[in-house]
Amino acid sequence: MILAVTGGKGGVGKSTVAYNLAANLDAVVVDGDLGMADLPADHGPDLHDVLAGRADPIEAVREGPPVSILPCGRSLAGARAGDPTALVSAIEAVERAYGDVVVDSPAGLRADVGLPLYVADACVLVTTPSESAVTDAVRVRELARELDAGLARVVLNRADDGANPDAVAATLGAPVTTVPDDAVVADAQAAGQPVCRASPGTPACQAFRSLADAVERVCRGHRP
Amino acid sequence: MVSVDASATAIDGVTLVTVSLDSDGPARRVRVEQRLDGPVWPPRCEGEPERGWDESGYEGVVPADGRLALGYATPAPPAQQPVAVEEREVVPDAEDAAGEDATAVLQRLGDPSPPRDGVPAPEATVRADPRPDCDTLPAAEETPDDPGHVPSPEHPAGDESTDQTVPDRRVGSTNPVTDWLDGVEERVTTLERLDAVETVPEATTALQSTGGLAAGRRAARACAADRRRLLSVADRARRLADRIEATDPPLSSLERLT
Repeated sequence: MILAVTGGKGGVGKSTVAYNLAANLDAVVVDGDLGMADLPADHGPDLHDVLAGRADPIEAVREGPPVSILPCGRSLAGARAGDPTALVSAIEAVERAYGDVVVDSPAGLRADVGLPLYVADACVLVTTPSESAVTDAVRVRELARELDAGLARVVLNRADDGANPDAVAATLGAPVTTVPDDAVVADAQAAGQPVCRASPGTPACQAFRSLADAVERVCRGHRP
Repeated sequence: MVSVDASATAIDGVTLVTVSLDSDGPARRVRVEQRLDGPVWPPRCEGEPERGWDESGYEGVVPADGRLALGYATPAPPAQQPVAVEEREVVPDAEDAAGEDATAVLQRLGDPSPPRDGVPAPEATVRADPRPDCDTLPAAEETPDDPGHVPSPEHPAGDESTDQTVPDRRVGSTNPVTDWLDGVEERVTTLERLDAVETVPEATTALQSTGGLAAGRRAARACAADRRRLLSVADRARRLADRIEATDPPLSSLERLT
């Protein structure tokens, strides 16, 4: 299963959702944000090297725990040197080797958002309660529809008391999982840990578990 | 053969119909006809029904050994079999609706790579760029003659915290120290040629071949800076060499201890 975590607007928590979703699905998370990588990385081959044909995708995967990850380089020169379309075969190769893949997509609506949606079986849309984030999510949902990536779930991230999940579900046309605005989420991400490992039993951990369960239910149920 | 899985669910007075068509053979055109007693409210894009939809249903292609998933709404009450599916002709591969590939996605949505002018990279990287931008052709080629861009011994290329001057191993860049020395050599050669002239015709020829008087002045200024840096590098190189000479680690003894 290939799952694209996308959202349109920057800063809504796509990387956090992708990382925690991968942790709960026991999937490999691919940092597809070619220009502004966000997930933890170390030395060694990365997605820039893979896209430029200098490394094998499997060779670039850092196996967990806590989460297996194919990191992305952080230089603009590296982002420019690769062939973006090679992202498709790279993601497929990781899926063949590891099973499930979660792709952390960048903000925007360009091909680096479209290519993960193109190769994905389904997508998860991440938004915050803000109007601008929901508007951008609507735009990405259209793109996902055109590229045949079914919408498995909407994540309403950093939801405070004023958030209205029902309104977001109605606007985006899919069930919503709410992730609370809780410091444990940012703390865990900063520490390079999934929330359920750093702060098990918290509402945020429960939210990510329930998201993974819902995605699994939708995607496994619809697989050929 | 196309198998059909369809369902209708009433939500808030509207019936949502989902249809899944699976083919275990070649790509085939199908017609999906609404059987519920009401109009079809098709999915829309920019306010217009999406391709293949009309007021009574949908016509499209189920990909070879693949799946076509559809969904629409209707005000009609739900029923057991919301749609009727009629299989039509086999479609050649080229007409397969699912024909968009990764390259087409890239062309449609635009290359996400940062523009070349947005990439602060050493000249070697610029030269090695495999995908030059047609709209950014006048790129930064002036760096070799600019003494401000050469690595200084106090701040060699690899010392800087940003990746602006970090040699990019990924795009086949050469060694920045070698690049710098090559640049110095070029500037010194220019200066020597200007220095060697004794007659007016020789001076004219030399100025023409080195790019004129302004270029000569630039080379002279750059060489003055080069000289300071070269001496500083030489001094540091000598001190490092002396330190190397002063060391004699007892490696064989250390080997026995571990």
